Amino acid sequence: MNDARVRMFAEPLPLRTDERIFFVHAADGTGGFARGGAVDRVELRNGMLVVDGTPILRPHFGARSLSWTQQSTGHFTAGRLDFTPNGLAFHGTVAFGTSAEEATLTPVMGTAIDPTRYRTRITKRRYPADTSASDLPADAWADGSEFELGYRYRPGDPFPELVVFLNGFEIPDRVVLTIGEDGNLEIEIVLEDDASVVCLFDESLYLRGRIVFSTFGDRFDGRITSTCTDRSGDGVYFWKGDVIEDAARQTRPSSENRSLTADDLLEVRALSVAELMTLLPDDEVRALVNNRLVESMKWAMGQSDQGRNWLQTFFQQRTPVLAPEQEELAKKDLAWFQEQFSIGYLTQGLDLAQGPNAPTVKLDQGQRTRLANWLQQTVGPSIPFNRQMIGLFRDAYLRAQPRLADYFADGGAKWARLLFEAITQPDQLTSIIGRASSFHDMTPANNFTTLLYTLDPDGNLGREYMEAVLARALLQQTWATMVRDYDLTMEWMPFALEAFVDAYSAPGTADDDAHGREIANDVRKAALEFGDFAALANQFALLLIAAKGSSLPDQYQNAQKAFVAKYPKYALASQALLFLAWVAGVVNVIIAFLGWSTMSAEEKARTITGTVNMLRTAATAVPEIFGKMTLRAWNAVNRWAASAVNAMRGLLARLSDSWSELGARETTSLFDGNTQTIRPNTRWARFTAVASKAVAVIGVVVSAAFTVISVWTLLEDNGAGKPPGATIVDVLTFLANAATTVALVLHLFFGTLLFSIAASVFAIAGLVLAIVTLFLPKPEKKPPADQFMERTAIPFVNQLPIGAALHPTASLALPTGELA
Amino acid sequence: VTQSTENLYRLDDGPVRSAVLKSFTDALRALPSVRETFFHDVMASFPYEAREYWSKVATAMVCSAIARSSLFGFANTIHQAAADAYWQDRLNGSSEAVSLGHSIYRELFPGLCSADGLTFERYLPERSHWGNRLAEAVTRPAFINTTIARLIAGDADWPQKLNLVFYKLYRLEPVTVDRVVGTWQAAFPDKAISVQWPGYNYIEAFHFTPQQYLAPVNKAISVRHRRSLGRATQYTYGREVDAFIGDKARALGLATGTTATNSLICPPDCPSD
Repeated sequence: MNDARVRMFAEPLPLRTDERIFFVHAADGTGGFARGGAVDRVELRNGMLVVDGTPILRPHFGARSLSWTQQSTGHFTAGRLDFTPNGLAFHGTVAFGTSAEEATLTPVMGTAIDPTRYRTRITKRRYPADTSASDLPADAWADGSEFELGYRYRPGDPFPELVVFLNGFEIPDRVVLTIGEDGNLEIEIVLEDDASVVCLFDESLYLRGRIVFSTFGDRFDGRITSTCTDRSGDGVYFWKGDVIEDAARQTRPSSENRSLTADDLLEVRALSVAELMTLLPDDEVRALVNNRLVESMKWAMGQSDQGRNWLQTFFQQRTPVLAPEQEELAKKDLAWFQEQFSIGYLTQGLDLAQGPNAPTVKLDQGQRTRLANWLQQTVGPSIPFNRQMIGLFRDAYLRAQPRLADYFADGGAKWARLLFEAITQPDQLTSIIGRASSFHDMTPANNFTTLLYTLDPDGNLGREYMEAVLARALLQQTWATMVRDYDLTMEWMPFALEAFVDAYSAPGTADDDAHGREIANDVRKAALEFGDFAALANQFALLLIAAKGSSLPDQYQNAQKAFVAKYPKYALASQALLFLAWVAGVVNVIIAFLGWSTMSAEEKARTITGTVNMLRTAATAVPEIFGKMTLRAWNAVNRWAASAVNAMRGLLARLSDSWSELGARETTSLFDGNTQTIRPNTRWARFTAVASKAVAVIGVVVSAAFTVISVWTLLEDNGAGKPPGATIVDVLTFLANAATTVALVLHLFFGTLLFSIAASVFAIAGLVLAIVTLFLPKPEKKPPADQFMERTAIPFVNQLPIGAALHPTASLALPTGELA
Repeated sequence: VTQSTENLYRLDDGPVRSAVLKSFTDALRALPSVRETFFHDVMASFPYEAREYWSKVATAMVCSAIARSSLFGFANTIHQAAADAYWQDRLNGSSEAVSLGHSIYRELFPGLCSADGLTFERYLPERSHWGNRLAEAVTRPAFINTTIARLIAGDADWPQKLNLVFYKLYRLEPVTVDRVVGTWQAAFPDKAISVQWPGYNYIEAFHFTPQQYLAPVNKAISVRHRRSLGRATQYTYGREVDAFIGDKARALGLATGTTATNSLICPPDCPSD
């Protein structure tokens, strides 16, 4: 067994005592985020929160989040911000308006350090390299491409990741950083190899050049030797940049301009989605659930002589009095509490206890391992345990967020639907996926799902939401794939060509699709001349695979040129190549996610036809898909993808009702917990040069989604009055393994994966967490503790099955000194 | 060159650090434990605290040199490894070393921290003005972003460079330090950025060699004492070194007890006479 450790916790962030400015990127309505939007900056000032100049007088500080709802005369604001584990960035939603009913929701992301943007000037023509640029007259210069330099973090990375944009194109892999003799930063741009793609999007880009920054980075000077429009002339273009100062970029008045006191605040009466989004569960709920479980355990102990004795000895307590509902719930698993849970709990606690009152009798290493395995493998997924935790959760959540009761009273299902609609908007899903991609963190998505379930336990919106997130994550990967495998490509491309022709030949094709129809006709003609669709597909496939490039658009560009050069009379047919490349992207992702070899011929055909039909709607929205791929078209394609989540879900659902579970199993099997790596040569590696990155993102999303779906299944079974069967236990056990493995490989802490409902919290994290960190008993006298260890604990452990470790032992932060 | 925030940032403390080492070794020569025997020409007194502590360190450093002398078997009179360890341990791990290093560094910094012909002391008359300007410059996003990029490019010295900024601010306008450190902590939280310069040891042992004082030691050993024994003459070399070993080195447990072969008796026609 390896000695890897899963991190259980992320440290709480000192948000309450921070003094920090976050620069906010607001959703721009097209699936992207940009500065200068509806929200500009969020400031933490040692316990005070200021949002765009408005002081938030009563913010709620969570362990890694903060939220607020505030109404003053003519001004309402609400928000929920979830911080990344390192505290450097956040994602969330901010609402502004005159009142709760009229407030506008804006998804936001914020970073502590704003990337630096430079306004640049470049000479209008080349000059000899030894020219003194400072001597050139003003009219020798013209506006140049905007340059942006910054960095971003991923938790645990030894170094930050460089962020470099040239005219809006992110090019961190196409720059070389050096430090000059004077210690200043130098950056060389090397985009020449990607000229065929980047120049397609923006002809004003520079392909090769070198710039040197000033000591404080507020300006740079340099030379450009190659541009999209002038790749190899004599001499150089001189290029210089000056930082666009923060002051010039601010779009809001200084935060000192607005003042509010407690007297200005009005009660928020109206219910709203804006407020609902601030009522997400946090660590407080989890702590409450844990406390309730211990209360129930103590109550159960109090129902037997022996248990009462232990209660008195180890806790110095009498039997607690529970609320009637909690007592009813505890009674259902009385024997489990008395004979299993309390003994395991006390054993673990006393064995780990240190200090003068700690027992001298301890478990040996073998017994300790046996107990840990039992807690993880048996107790975590057990029906009594999950029944208790689920039963306690809702009440704890309501206690932590009492305002939720008003939403229940007004119709929980109605508000769940409104919330669902708000959080499945393209910008919201983009934000969630951005967080999963950049920080491997699904906390906000998990919280939304929990709230959906809590508002409407009988509905299915939690599952639908997670599937929407998953579908969005898959769409995100579409353009990152490539056509690489000939045999595989020939399995779908002939059908795709035929489906394409059929789709555009069908009666009633809209006039908007006229150009597509012409292309389809040309494709049909070419297929006839080549022999059949397979013969034409063969040509397309060979050219795509042979085409140089690192992305689908890149491949398409080169393959189309080659096809036209070879078969000029079918130039029109060649315009189907980008559409086909897109089909390839979607099919690639589906194959990688669900597996291709396991699909029946019928399923494969459905996949291809469904993909073609889905993308036909995209082609109608983005007609450039059949023409020249411009930056505008590229943005339009991405906008379409952001709004196509339901179409993607529909496509996947046609393949399998349980596509998310199927994909989750397929994906988590790509992670190797023993070596802590993503397995090499996965299916993703057949389609993308960045397979491990794709697998990592999908792995994070499916782990969270699958956890939710499994718990949902458990709830449904219980809700129907059926006794939960072994299958459910198997599922919970499986997800514990899967999520743990993903966490190990990606060096995540568990909290990023967990669905907040207690069942999965404990099923995955293991009871050890709860016991050690929350319930450590405080023995007063040594002899009873030793007695317990000798007479009860060790015999109890010895009769447990040895069991193979599910996964490496969890690394726990023990509260040293807690035991007196 | 005129004063500027950029020049202030670029002021390099390399010359200060080098000068600290020289000042330290010079200061040790002034300690009575070694001065009388090896450094007669040093007139100054040891100007720092913990004289007793540093007297022993100076003794051990001289012993390390004696242990490496090729003259008259003096090398055998000293436990070489023990002598080396004695002063190396005290230079590496002691608060006295950190404190003394900082005393010297603080003293030399204004005059020697320099760039482009300007020194730090040129900024002292308007210390608040320049401190605020430097603090403002090093908390701008542009500086942070290019500094992080330099780090990614492999600039391994960035923590030292950042601490040099903190030190300059401390000398110019101490109230700015917390704000600057806070900004950098927010920008780069995983690296636990903090004010580390007070813990820097400018006189760590690796800067010094056991041969540091070999020349004055050999010079002292070469001092010949003549004593008449009737017609013959006894010559004793390094008699004061003998005394030093029997007294100071023994007190530190560094003397082996072996005597040097530094005495010879010459007959009347001895050429050495």
